[in-house]
Amino acid sequence: MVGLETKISDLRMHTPLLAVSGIFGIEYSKLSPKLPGVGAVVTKSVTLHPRSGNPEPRIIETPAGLLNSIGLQNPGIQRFLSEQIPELSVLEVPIIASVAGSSMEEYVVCSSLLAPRDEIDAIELNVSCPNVEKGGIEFGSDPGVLRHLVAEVRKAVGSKTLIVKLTPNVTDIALPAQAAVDGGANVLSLINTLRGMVIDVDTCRPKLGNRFGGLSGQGIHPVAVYMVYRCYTSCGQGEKGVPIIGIGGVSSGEDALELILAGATCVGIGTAMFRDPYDAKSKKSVFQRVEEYLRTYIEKRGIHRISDLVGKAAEVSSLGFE
Amino acid sequence: MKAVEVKEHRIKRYDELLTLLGKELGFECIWPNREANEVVWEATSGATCSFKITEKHIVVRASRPLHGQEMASEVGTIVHHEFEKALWTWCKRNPERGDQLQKALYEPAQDFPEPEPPQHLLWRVLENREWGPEYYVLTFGVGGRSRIDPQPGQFMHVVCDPDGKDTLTDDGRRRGYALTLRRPFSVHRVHYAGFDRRLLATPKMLPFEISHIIRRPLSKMDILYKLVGEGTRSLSRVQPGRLLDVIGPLGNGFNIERERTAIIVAGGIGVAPLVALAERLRYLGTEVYMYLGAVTQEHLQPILRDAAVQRGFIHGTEFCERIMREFEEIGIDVVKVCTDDGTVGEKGLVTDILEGDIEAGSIPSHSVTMYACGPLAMMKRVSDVARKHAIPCQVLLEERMACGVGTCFSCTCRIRGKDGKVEKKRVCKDGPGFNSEDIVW
Repeated sequence: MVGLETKISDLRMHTPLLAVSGIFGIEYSKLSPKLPGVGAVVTKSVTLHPRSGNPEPRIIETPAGLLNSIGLQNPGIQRFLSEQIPELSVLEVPIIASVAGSSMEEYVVCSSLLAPRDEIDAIELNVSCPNVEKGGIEFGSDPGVLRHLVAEVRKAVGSKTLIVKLTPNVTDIALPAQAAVDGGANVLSLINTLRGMVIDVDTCRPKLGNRFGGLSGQGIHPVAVYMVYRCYTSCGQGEKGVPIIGIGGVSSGEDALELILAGATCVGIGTAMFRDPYDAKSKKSVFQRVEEYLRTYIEKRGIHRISDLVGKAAEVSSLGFE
Repeated sequence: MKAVEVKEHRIKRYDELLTLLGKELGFECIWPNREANEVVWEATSGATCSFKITEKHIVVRASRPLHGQEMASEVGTIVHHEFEKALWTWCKRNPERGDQLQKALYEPAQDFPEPEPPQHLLWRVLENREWGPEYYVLTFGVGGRSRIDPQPGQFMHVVCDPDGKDTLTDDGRRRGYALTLRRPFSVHRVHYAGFDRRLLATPKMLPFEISHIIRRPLSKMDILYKLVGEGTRSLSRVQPGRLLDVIGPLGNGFNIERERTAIIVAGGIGVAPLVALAERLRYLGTEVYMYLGAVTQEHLQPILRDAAVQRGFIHGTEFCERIMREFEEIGIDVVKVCTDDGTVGEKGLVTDILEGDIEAGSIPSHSVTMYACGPLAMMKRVSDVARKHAIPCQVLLEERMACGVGTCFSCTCRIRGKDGKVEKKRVCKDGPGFNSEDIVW
């Protein structure tokens, strides 16, 4: 690997940047077929059965962010397999399929249907979903449940690269992180959205149809940086260390580099795409902007490859506390 | 009259129309005389028919031999825009053939290029002015080589804070915070290079020249917006000369049928996309009835963009007359202005006045399509009126958007599919134009 080339588990990417789940869709590639700067894409979470999603309004802009409650609207695994995979396979980058569910069985069934497909390079488990069998607590917030879930999915997918996307709505993210690793995850990706709410002072009602939603965007970046750092220092380092995909509020090269220095091997970009989607013609997309910044940074400092910087901020903790 | 210079392919088109026409009536073309703009046809019966194209009409002279010797002739004239609609009287005397002719002439619209795929563009702001209370009109200058042809009902997805963009500079350092989302604005008016919209009134030129003009590049585009939040407020502060980052044109606009008549109903800021629609319908020679509703006179001011109007020097009846003249200019003779408070035009809700006119028979309710845009309750009301009188009706929906291209599923609405099942459709991609009957209100 040289420069920005990145290898994570068995995925090879030409930049460490990913287009995250729920934002990227095949329509974006019609605006710009080559997807400059994008190392890999993650599909919108698919569920066993089709879901029509939450009542509108589904989004509200917040200061330096976005609150969303889409509700995982998707056509279901069958149509995903028959319609969306062929559409996505024209992309020249690794494709990661995101899976969601409301019961363990749903995750297992979907994952087992996706694992044999060669077009899919890895499976990402979206565990920010409410566990219906346990009163609606997110799968990702209960380490015991999470470990069991990951272990069952691992059995179903064999040696396929398995990524677990952690929810930040927990007291200490190191616990679910370790649980996912124990269950057999190859890669951790964090963070998903933070739970939030906006109330309309004129109507005195929540602004979102589903009342609350997930916060993303520039405002959550420091939370993402901390949580990547926490996971890296607890289960990302050393021989048994599991690589991390850092996601959360990245809109500039600096933001991406911070996550890398905190311990992320790859960086995901989502909300920033709404403002700066792919285009190579008239102006740079957020991916191009970030890619150029990282390239310039390592060249100027004579750093051979970006992976040399992973977790650098965690190296010198001479003061002895985490 | 002097010979009119026309492009080869347009002459060919006109000839094709005449050939079809002639054949249907049993004539064969024997002598096209382009310089005199006349074509002569002959039938096996010996009858002849000549079409002479003048500035205003097509003069049709048909003669048939009578008793072997005498020639009885009929002269008819057809106004150009009627010819395009195949409503000319001579055809009607042979109703069967007349109908066939109408079918032959009514091919799917070849005049308009297929919409270009949406593009990511940088457009210059030429003007950005307030014309009503917190109502602004922003004019974009479109690059000379643009091949975009925005359809009525489509929208542009705009970054409203260009300075916010500067905080996310190209060198990758982060300096501040920008608005997370773009804002969608429907296309209000389009301007084509060198085309005077008053030509839409009655074609003073030959029909094939008008469709030739439509192929000219887009030179300017207007959006009409109201200050409702952070994004629009930011946009109102953009000075002329700045470049704005836009994506578009996006969405499925109105599905324009080649009906002879259209009724357009506007509610407040909903008038924005309907002006583009009215102009496009006039290109097609449709007869348009326009209903403009607003809470009060001020909300209609941006349509006129007149400083005297804005400052209140022109109001009431005079204002009403100005609006009517604005639309008469493009050939719309019936413009009903209604305000809730009666400051201009008729007092009352536009939907009530519309319903009253339909029931009184003062506007047609057959072979008519209705188009509406405005507050949700108003569009629902229009849809009720349309359903009651079996008039097909289309409305333009709006919903908070993030990606604007169909990937994120933020902007969904409930639409009844053909099988009767209710589905969540995306306003940005499956709409914004929808048949009012399919919407689950």
